[in-house]
Formats: sequence, C-alpha cells, structure tokens
Amino acid sequence: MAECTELEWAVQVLVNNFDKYSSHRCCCKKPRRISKKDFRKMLSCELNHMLTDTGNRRAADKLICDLDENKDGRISFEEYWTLIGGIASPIAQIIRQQEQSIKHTK
Amino acid sequence: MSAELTDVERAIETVINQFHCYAVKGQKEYLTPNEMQELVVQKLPHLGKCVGPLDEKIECMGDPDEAKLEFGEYWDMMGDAAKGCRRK
Repeated sequence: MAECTELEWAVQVLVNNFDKYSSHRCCCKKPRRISKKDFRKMLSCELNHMLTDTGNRRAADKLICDLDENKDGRISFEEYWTLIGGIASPIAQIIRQQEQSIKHTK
Repeated sequence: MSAELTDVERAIETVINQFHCYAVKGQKEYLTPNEMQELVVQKLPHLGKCVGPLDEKIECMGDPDEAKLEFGEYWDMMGDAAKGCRRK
C-alpha cells in the first residue's frame, strides 16, 4: 500500500499477524484458520506486554474459554478479529479512565 | 507502555488512539456520525471503501444528534477494513 496512514498500517499489521499464525490445514481451498494452540502461542509472543496486567490476562483466559465452548477448535479471521477486539476494548476503557482520573486530580 | 511493544501491540494501541483522537464530543467513549466520517475519510483513504457506504452507516445509526458509535462498533468497522486488506 502506497503512503498508508498510521491506522491503515495498524489494520495491516493485525491482518498479517493472522496470516502468520493461521494455516489452511490439509486443504488449501478452505479459508485459513488459527488453531487454539497457535492462538495461545500468538497471545504470549505478540501480546506479552499488553497481557501482563492481571485483569487483561483474565480477559484473555475468558476469551480462550469462550473458544472452547464453540468446540470448533479453530479460529476464523472473523473470530480472531472479535477476540482481539475483546482485548482492545478493556484497554481502551482503562486508558480513558486513567485520563479522566488525571483530570479530576488536577 | 514502553518502546518494547511488539508490532501487534503497537497496532492495537494505534487503533485505540485514533478512536480516542476523534471521539471528542463523547469524551473518548463514542464517535458521533460526523466524527466517524472524518476518521474514515482522513485515516482510511485506501481502505475506506471496504467499510461500505458511509451514508448508509450514518443513517443506520439513527438520529444524528443522538447517534453514537461505541468502541466495539468501531472495532467491527475496522474489521471490515481488514477484510478489504486481505482481499488485496
């Protein structure tokens, strides 16, 4: 992509990350998916700083639990995107709350 | 957070920051239809079309004075942009 913006770069990184951990498995005609094992590996390799916080780690565990319920065992791109959103959303909230409390103490 | 962040973490941070940058009226809690439009036009010049027609999206949000796009919905919208990336 020529001269992409910061946001477009970010979206692209998240797409590439999916491709890095996903595979076609046996049949290359099927869409790429990430196995649960590889997803755990991805969380510890790629999100090790963001998930150091216990609250965030718990959120990630819950995400994996929810995956288990699904029984499908493999994560599609849509599921992956939702999962990363599940990690990003509480972080966004924490940042917002932190900034608000700074404003209040001033 | 430190400079040792991975690319994936920096990417997530960027997506969050951009939302916060534009969510002025809603104090970082939500985007108004106007703010959403600005964000897509300015920050997604190549991927904006993957998000779909903005007018329709804005209309779906309902009353423009009260419409709110929360972080989760914004994230889903970025998901559409991401799917556009993959097709390339």
